[in-house]
Amino acid sequence: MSIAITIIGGYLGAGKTTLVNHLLQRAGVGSQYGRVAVLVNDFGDVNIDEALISEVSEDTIKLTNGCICCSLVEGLAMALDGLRQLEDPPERLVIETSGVADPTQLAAYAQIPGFHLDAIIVLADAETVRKRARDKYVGDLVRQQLAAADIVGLNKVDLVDTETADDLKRWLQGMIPGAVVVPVANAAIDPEVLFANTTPPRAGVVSDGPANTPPATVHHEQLFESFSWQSDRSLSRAELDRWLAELGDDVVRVKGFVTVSDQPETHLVVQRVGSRVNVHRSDQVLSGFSAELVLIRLKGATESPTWPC
Amino acid sequence: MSTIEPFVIYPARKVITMNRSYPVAEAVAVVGDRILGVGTVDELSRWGEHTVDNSFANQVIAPGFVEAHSHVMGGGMWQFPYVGYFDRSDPDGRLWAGSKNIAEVVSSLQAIEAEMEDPDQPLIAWGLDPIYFDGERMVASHLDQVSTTREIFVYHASGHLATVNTALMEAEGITIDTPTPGVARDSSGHPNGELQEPAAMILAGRCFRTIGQQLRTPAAMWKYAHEARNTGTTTLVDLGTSQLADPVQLQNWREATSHEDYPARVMVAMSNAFGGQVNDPTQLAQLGADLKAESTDKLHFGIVKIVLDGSIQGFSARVSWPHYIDAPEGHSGNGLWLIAPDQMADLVTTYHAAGLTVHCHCNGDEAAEVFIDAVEAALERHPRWDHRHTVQHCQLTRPAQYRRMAALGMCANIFSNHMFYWGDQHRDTTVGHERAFGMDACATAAAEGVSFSIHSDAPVTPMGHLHTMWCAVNRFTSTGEVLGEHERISVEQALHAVTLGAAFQIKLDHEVGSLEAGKRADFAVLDEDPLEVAPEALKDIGVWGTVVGGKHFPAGPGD
Repeated sequence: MSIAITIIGGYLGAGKTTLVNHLLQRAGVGSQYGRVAVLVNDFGDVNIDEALISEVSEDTIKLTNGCICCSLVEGLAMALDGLRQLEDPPERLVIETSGVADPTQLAAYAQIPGFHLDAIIVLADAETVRKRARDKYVGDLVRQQLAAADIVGLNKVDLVDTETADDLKRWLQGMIPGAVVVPVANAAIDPEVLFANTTPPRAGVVSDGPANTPPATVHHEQLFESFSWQSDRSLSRAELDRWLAELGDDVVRVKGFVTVSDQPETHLVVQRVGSRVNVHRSDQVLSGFSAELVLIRLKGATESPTWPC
Repeated sequence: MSTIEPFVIYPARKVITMNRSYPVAEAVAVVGDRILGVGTVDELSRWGEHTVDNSFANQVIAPGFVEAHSHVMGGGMWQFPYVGYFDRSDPDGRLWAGSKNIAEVVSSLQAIEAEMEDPDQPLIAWGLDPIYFDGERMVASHLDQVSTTREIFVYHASGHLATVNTALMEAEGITIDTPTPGVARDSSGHPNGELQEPAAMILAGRCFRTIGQQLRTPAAMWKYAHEARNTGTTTLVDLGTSQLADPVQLQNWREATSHEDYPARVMVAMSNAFGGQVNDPTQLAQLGADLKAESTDKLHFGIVKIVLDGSIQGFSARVSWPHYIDAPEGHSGNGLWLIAPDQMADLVTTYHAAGLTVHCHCNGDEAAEVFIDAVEAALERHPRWDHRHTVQHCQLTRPAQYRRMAALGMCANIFSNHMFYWGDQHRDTTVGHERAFGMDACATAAAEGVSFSIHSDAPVTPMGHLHTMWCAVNRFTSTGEVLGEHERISVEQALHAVTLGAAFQIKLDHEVGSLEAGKRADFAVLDEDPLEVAPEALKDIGVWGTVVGGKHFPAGPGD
C-alpha cells in the first residue's frame, strides 16, 4: 500500500502551520481519512489538544487516533526512509514545507517507491502575497511556490474586501494557468478538499438502483459543493480524457473509478487535483459501476457539472 | 626570584610569532600548557630552572593554525576509502593517489574490494568528482567490474550524488519501474546506477544510512583531530555539524577533547542547519549561552551557525543580477534561500542578544546583503560592541559590502580553496570573468579593513592551511591559470589570516593564534619557513606535526 503525500507549501506567514494544527485538531481525521502522519519543521509551533496525545518522544508525537506527528530532525530523506520501514505505515503523509522550499523539489520525494503524490497545496497570504511576489529577494521564490500548486489556498480572505479577493484570484489564475484558487480564512481548508477521501463507500457492490443515477449534491461547509455519479455506461478513453481536461478551474478535486469502453477489462483510478490529472490502472475491481466518481468544486457557478452519459 | 616551575626551551631554526612587538625569535619557552615567552635562549634562561629540548632545532615554529570552518564529518568520511580526483592524505598520514579517470577509480576500488573479508559488507567509498572526467559519467556497469555480488556505493564529492552497482540496485529493489526523480537512466530507461539528490540516494537504503550513522561518532571526532595534527592545525571549528542538543553527541565531544591525547582544541558551533532536536531559536540561544559558560581549555562554545543560501557551483547560491552565466536547463535563474530573508533580522537578533557570535553561510552576494542587513538591524535593536559576527564563505561579497562589514564590526571567513578546485568553472559557467576575478576577495577585505580568515570547509576541500594559504596567495585554478591577480594577498597576510585572523573571529585570539607569553603553547611545526619559500611552493612545505598545550603530536598514523 502506497502512502499518499500531501505537500503544504507557501511562503513564511502564509498559514501552513495553522493548517497543520487545524488538521491535527480535527478529532475525526484519524478514522475518516486513515492514519495520517504529519512531518513538521518545528514541534514548538504545533498545537495539539493534550487529550489527543498518547505518546511523546524526541522527534515523534503519537495521537490517540493513530496519527503521528514527526519533526524533520534528520531531514526529509531520513524521515521518509523511517516511515517506509514502519511495519504498519500510515495511509497518508502531510509534509509541511519550510517557508523557503520549492514544493516542486519536494515532490520528487513523493515518487520514492512506497509513496505517491496526492496534492500540492500552496497557501498564499491575501494581505501580502502580491507584495511578496515582487520582492527583491523572494519574489522569484514566491512565484515558483505558487506555480507548483495544484490548489492555491488564498488565506486570510476575511482580512481583505471582496473586490481585493476577486482581484487576487484573477491575478493568481493569470499567473498560474489552470490554478484552482480556494479562498479560506484561518487556513481552515476542509480535510475533504485536502485529502479527497472520495473512495466510494460501496466499492465492489453492484447497485440495484437506476443505471445512471442523477448527480447527488451535497453542500458541505459553505465553500464547496460535491457531485457524485454512478453509471453503468462507459466512455471511451478519449472521451474520459477530454471530460477531465475540460472541467472548469472551479473544480478542486475529482476522484473515482472508471472502466472505458475501448478497454473493458481494465479498471482505471481517476484523479484530478487542481488541473493535474492522473489516470492509472488498478489490478482490482474497485467499483461495481462502469463509472463511479465524486467531484468537489467551489460554490458559485450556476451550472452543474455533468457526467457525459 | 621567579616562581616559575621548571620549563622547557625549544630552540628552532626560526620562531614566527605573529606578534608585532617581537615578530621573529630563535626560541620559545613552555611551562605546562602555556608559553612562558619567546626570545633568545639566553633571554628565556633568565626565568629559572629549565631544560633545552632540541626536537625542533631544525624546524620552523609558527602559531598553530586555526581552521575556522570545517566539519567533524571530515573525520567521519575517512572511515571510508577515498576515490577523488586529487591526491589526498588521510588522518593517518597515508596518501591516497587521485583517480584521474573512471578506469583508475575502478582499479582503486578493485584493490579495496580484494582486501574485504565479509562478503556481505557493502563497499562504501567517497570523493568521486566526475566534473574532471571530460563529461564521462561513472555508472553501475563500471562498478560491476569491481563486484557483481557485493553492494557498492560511491558517494560523490559534492554530496549531492552517488553511483551504485547492480548488486546494490537488486538488493534495494531499484528497477526500471522505480519512478523516483534523480534515478538516472540509460537509453533503454533502466537505472544506470547514478542517484541524484537525497530523494534518490535514500533508495540505496543500507549504505546511505550507514554513512549518516558514521559521520559524528567518537571515531569521526578523533580522525578529525588527527587530520588537524597532520596539517599543522591546532584549533578547529566544527561549524554547525554537531547537534549539541543531543546529550550523546555533547558527551562524546567532552570525552574526546578531555583526553590528553586528543590533539586539537575544538570550537563546536551550534546549529540546526543540518537537523537538530531544537528548532526554536530562543531555546537554541539559551542552550548556546549555557554551553558557552561550560567551555574548557580544549572544548569551546559560543558560535551559532546559520546557512542562508546554497553553493555557487551548484547554482544554488543567491547571486545578484546578472545572476548566472550558464545555468543548467530548467534552472530558475537564481539560487535558493534556506532561510527566509524576512526571518533573518529576528533570528540574528535572538542569538546576538544572547551574547553569541553568529557565523552565517553566504556564498552569494545577495545572501551576504541579507545577513549584513540583519546584523545592522540586530545592532539597532540591541546595541552590542565587539560581536564579531562573521560572513562565512563570503565568496561573492562585493566591495561595498566589505565596507559595510567593516563599519558594523563584522568579520569574513573566505573560501579561498574554491579558486583552485572550481575557479575554471566559475569563470566559464557560473559568474563569468569579472566576478570570478573578484571572488574570494581577500585583498579587498584587507583594503577595506575587514578582519578575515580563509578556510577549507573540510571535507568539501582538504584540510590544510599551507594549501589554503597557497590558494589565497597565488589564486591558481586547477588548470594553472591565475584567476584574479589583483585579489592575491601576501604570504604575511595569508599567515595572519590562518592564525590570528581565524582566532579573532571565534573570540579565542587572547588564547591562540600567536606566540606570546601567557598564551597556549600551540605550534605548527614546519620543515620550511612559509615566509621564505617561493609562494608557489607554500603547499609543499612539510609538516612535522603540532604541539598542543605543550604536548607533542608528530604527524603520522593513528594516535
